[in-house]
Amino acid sequence: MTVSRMFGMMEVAMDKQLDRIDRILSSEPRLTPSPQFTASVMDAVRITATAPALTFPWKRFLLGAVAAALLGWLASLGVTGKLRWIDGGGGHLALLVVSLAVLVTFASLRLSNALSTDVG
Amino acid sequence: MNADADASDVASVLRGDTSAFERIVRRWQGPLLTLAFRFCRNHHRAEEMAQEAFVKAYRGLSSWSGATPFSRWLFALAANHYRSRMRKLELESVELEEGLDTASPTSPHLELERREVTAAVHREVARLPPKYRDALILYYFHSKDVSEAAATLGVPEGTAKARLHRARLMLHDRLKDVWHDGGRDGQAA
Repeated sequence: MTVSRMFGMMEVAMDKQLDRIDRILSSEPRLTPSPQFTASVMDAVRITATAPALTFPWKRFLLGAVAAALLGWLASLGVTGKLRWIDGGGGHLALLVVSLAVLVTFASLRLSNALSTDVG
Repeated sequence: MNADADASDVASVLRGDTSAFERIVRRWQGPLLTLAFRFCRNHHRAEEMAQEAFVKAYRGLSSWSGATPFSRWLFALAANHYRSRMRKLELESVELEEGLDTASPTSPHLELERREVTAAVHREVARLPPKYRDALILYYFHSKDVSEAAATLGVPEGTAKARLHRARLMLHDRLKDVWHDGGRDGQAA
């Protein structure tokens, strides 16, 4: 058997297999939904239609913005050296900023939990 | 005609008549469920996914501009939702059901073999990388219309064609054992 004839036979086999895949995937029937499907969809749609629209959480946003601004302001003071009176030359400034950041994170988490409980 | 009915019902829903959406659901529930099943291959999950797609469609109805057919907008939204749901599902944990058979009965041995090959094909389609799987599913869902499949996927037609070609080759490659073990071409089809 020549190499070209062998390749030819392989191509024919591959075409047949691709045809078979094609036949299987083309012959899948369309499904019909269960009898209660429409009612179930409409129930879900009506719940969506009557649910109050989600409002933007301005309280949380403002709190976060204020905290971020405060930290940014402190960081800028640290960078420009205006906080040297706190630092006292002992390298305590970094510790202070990190402690403050941890404190703000903890407070934000507690507050957001409390607010989400109020909403829920 | 569907297009006129869709446009009229969408306008009614947007004016506040929620019940008009029921006509849209009745018109498109079959295709949306069929498409969902081809993604997840589980009837119960497909109904869940189709319901979620309808709720999404209801919420986003105002974003349909009317410039494209409503069906195209709806299929794109549903396919997008199904693809995102499939990403979240662990494929291994999904119970794959066989599709409904429409083939004429043959001998028990050939029938068993045909079912095995069909199940293997569906299993391997589900295991393809998502972008190839999606192209293949949408191509067959749209009765082999590449341009419709591309529109639903939101990709150029050339990209869809390339993905389809690659998907078919990958599928063929992954099914080698099936062809060798028992898939006698032509006999069971």
